[in-house]
Amino acid sequence: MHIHPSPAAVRRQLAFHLSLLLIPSLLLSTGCGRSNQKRLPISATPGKAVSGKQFKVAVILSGSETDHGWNQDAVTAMQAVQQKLNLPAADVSIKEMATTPEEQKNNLEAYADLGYNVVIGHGEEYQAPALQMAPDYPNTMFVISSGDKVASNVAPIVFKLEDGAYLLGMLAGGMSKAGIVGSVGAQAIAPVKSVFTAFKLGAMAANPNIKVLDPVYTNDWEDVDKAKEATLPLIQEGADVIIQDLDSASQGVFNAVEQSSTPSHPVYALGTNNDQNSAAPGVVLASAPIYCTPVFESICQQVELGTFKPSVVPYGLPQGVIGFVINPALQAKIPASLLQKLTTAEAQIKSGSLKVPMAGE
Amino acid sequence: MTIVSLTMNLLVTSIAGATPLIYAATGELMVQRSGVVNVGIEGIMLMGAFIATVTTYFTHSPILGVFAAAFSGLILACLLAILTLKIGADQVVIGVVINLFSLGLTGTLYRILFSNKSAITHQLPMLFHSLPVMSLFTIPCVILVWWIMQHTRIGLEIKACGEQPDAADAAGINVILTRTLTLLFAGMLAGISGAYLSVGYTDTFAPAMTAGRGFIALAIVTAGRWNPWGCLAAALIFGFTDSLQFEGQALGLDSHYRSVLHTLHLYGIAGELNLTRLPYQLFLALPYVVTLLLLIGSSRKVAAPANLGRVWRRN
Repeated sequence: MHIHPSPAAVRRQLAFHLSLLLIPSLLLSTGCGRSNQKRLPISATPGKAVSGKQFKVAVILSGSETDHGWNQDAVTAMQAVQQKLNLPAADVSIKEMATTPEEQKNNLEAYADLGYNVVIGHGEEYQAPALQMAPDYPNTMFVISSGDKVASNVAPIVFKLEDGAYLLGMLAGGMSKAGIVGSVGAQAIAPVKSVFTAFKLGAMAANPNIKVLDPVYTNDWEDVDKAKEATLPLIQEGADVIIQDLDSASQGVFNAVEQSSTPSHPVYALGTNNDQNSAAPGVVLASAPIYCTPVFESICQQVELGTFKPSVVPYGLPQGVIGFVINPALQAKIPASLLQKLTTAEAQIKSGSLKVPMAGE
Repeated sequence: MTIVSLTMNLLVTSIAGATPLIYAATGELMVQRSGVVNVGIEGIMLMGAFIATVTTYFTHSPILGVFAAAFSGLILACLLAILTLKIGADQVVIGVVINLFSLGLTGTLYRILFSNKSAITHQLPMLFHSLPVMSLFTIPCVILVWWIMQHTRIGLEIKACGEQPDAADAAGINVILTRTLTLLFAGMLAGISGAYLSVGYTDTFAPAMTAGRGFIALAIVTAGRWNPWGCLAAALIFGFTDSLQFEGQALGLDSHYRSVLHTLHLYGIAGELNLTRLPYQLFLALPYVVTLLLLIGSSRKVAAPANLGRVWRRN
């Protein structure tokens, strides 16, 4: 006969087992690689030139190198740096999926120990450990994507996506027939909120009477279905141009827009962080991509020459790090006068006569 | 926007959000009635979502994608059955293993296949531009499971295996076979549920896109007291609160909240507490809070199957 344990014992056992369910969610929680802090205006003096032989560069990523977004762009940039600086493949190293703070710190330390000249931590999460260990490794330049603090050998890269978001806002304000636009984000972290604020400013510049709905957040960078569920109510509220900051999950927004758009009532979407125009060519009007290549290249080059000076000067449209790409398939839908306005504003941002504010400014 | 259209939209998005939960929960309900707890449901769904996208990508047929996803669910359920029922390994541990295995395998294959191209595929049509076709099939699915469990001999056998496997065995029921078949059926439903996420409602796969829906389905089975109609109701309530919270965010309740703060002269205090904006996390937590309340409030009269989660061996 099979002997049954008491119900209480079974429940205790089940409770223990159910706690195992938490493991996958822990494994999934990765840093998303963006800054959430106030930027400090400090700068430092240039370091000394790299004399002699080897010049080694590494990048550490908190996520997957094939995420079609933030991390994959860094990989592309590193490959470009290798070619541009004519470095042997062995001297350019990429470490992906450093998901925990321990891994991030250990990888920074390991590359510094191996004598790498430039170690890029691709996300704000690398800043605290880098600042801590930097004095022990004076010959290594720690570069922190989306960082905000400067030391003699710690340099932040401040991406000014706001430049692109402002232009997207102008486009949205000019294209919206209903006079209502909306935004969908994953998390309300500072860089995302700042992008939506710049978008709003741009929309109001093109149409002072535009109604910009409050952003809707999903709390998930991967959940495509949830992104779609979040977009539909905005469209029902009358929004006919939608900006999003969702990376992997952005297809959900595009899908909702595609489903709701009709020839008599067109609805459009906008791309950020990447050129997402081809993801839904019928509805994505334009994208504001981040290009890591020019920053990585210029920093590595300057470090090699010994002329690099860490600073918090942002990299935006004028540096070619943020772009503004109109979807060629939909360009004909944009009135010539609006295109003209966009070209003018883009030139003004590039020349510095038009300054788009960043969060906290 | 009129109240009517607002209600209609809410209803449609509620159903759309509930659909994957209904498929997954009705299958899981049968499995649990047979005395097995399939914690691997999240992983099976994720695999189904991936297989559906890959199949659709290469064949351009989302219908084939759904069938392939069901088949992948069958395979994973088979693995689960061998490990838990044949070898007698712990069901929860194996379920967690299936989840991690799926997460790793789909992530790796996604990287191999779609690292340099997009995984956007065809998708199943939407009725009236908003209601996914697959949502329609949830009703026959619930009726089928209800009919099997209440009105067929096999339903009775499944319940016997979950309550008194020894008695069932003595009565000549093949306990292991019954549990295996139930698990395979539920695996197919979980696979279909995953396919809904990637080709039924949207048109692409993203790694980890199931985002915990399998675990919600487990909660829904308990909240629905192991009854198909109960599960349907619990899933719809979850779907409804989920779309309600997005509607709340889109309606700009935040600005209303701030005007209320102003009129009540509470802005200063709210500022001290860092609450000058209505935290959107409150909205996001709503469906989960409701699920918890359902779990607490659901009737104590109906107990879980007596042998749920226990390894059974024939003496």
